[in-house]
Amino acid sequence: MTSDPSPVHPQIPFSFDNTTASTFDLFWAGDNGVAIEAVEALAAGEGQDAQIFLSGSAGCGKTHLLMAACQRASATGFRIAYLSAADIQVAASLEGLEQVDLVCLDNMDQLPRQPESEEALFHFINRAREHHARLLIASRVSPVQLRIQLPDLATRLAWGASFKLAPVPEEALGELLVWRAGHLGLTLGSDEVNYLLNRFPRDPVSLLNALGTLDQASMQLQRRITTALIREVLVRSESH
Amino acid sequence: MNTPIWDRCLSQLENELTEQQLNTWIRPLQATHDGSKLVIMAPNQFVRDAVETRYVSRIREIANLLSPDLAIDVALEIGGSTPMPIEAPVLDTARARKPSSGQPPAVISAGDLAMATQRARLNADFVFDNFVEGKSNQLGRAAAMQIGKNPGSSYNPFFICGASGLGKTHLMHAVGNSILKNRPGARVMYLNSERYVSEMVSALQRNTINDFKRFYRGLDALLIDDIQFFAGKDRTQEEFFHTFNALFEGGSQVILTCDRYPKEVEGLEDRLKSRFQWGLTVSVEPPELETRVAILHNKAELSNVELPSEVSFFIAKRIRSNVRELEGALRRVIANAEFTGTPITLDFARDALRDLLAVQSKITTIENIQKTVAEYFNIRLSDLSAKTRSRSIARPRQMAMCLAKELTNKSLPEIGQAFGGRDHTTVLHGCRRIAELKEQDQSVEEDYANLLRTLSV
Repeated sequence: MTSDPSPVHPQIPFSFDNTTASTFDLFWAGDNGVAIEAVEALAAGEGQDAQIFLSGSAGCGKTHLLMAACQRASATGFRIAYLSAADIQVAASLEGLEQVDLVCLDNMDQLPRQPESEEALFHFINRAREHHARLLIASRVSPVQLRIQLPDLATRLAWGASFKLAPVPEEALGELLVWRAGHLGLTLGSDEVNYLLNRFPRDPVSLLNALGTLDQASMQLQRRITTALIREVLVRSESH
Repeated sequence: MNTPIWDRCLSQLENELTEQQLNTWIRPLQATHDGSKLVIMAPNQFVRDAVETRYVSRIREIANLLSPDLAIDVALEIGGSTPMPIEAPVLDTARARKPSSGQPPAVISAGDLAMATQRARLNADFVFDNFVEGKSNQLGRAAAMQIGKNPGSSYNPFFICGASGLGKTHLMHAVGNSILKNRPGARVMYLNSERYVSEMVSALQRNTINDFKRFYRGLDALLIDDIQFFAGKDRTQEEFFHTFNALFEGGSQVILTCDRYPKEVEGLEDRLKSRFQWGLTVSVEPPELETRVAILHNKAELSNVELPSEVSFFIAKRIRSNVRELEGALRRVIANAEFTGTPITLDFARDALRDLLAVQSKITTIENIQKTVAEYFNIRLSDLSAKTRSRSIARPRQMAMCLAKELTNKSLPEIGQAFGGRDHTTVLHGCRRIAELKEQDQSVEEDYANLLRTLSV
């Protein structure tokens, strides 16, 4: 059980970790301070923005910010809804959502390339404006690059402030791990950090998922996180 | 407003479900609690069905665990509290009478006016005072102001067409608000075409179509936005045709907006097209530079932000396609300034909009302009750089040069170079020629506007 896994390890599927909610506190701000502040204000129903569009590459934290906004708004007493644009092929999924205070539309780049989906979303944005429902939209690319066919929708997506989220630079991934571990009440030494960086895909999502699993294991086993523990957890996950 | 028992259910579910499940299915719900009955309201059928299949039994279980002394019955419904009702309008046909014409405006309190505005579904923020006038929209604005003073008499119907994001809806609301201000008792109703369709369908289903007809035919002014979405909806067009006739004959004002001229809307009945052209059709064009600058200053003022002229010119020169995008860029600059506590300067704006402008400039290269123009006029790309001076080639070439000057930041010699090594004076002549022709020949103006729109998306 203590044998070292192969050095170039494939991405390991980890189970969902419910202990680390995607809150604003747990978002590594980096160069994204402006976007975070704007999203926080939108979630709290403050500020002048009625709509914010977040763009950025996979893993830069778009969904995290949407979830954080949902959590914050919900805790403030607002009614919220989260929807992936990939599901908008069913116009029914948008019906009545304008009654909700904050609607988060994720994965806008996956909006089905059908006139009906674009039209349904266009009508929804009109209704949302009319009802003062706030919108938080996320996509890998900016509104202009989405190449929306329906011009009425294209201009509406570009309506509010849009922010491009900067990804966590590779050289900051170690710092990110230590920072997040600190939030979880864990101490992560440089050996453990290097061990994780060398054995996991170098993207924040994989690394933070790994950390979440290690946190649970550390709690269950009542042990500190050491390279030995990481090895054991890796082996266990792999055998599952 | 939720009930304590539902809030406690929510807290429990937060421990059991993933964030995505919570935010997609549970947090959109609202609940009321009456004795032993917990009524949970979903925003739509889609959410309701998912909750019924996956979560309602667990919700029932939790609710009963939380209330051991009383058996809780859980019911799922569609709806919820909302600041503005989305149901069909209250079909108060008794009030749907014409106010006696020629009466001076009654004294009306601000509160009453606000109520009237809300009843008419008008946005009180869209008024003439904050509609920035420019060459691109001055005819529309002048006519709209006239209609605000004398609805039903001057231009009826008033048909506003133009691409998305150029202020058609603003103009339409401004007329509605003006009518109400001048005649507080007037029956005005604004709605977009989708809502008209859904209210009609709902009236058919509820067997209240006669009330629907009476209501809409009894208005003093009916304002319908984005009429192009009536295309292909025969039953709606049939109903609207009769409503239009009734309103028109009764001297009520009809105002419509559309993304194109009536005759260009495919799937719209000819009898409607012809009626839409009875009154005045105005086209709203993309705003020119000075208007874009004025729009930015206007919006900055509304946000209590001081915007130096060099910054507004910088933004306006680069974002040309529509007002929404202009507003989006300004919001970004303001958000950055508020976050850093820094005054807005040219360098600051350039930095804040870096990625946005990079996308814009990538789209509007001279090569892309040439390709688009060649496709539009159905000529070969190489013709634009060739020596040919026949008009069928020279005109598109001049237009492409003119667009390159307008849309890129390239110098005249650079543009000339890209068109077969021509001199900068040739580019200048081409630009002047197109400017002249746009004034004289409507088809040149239309071609130019179409190309500008295509390239500025």
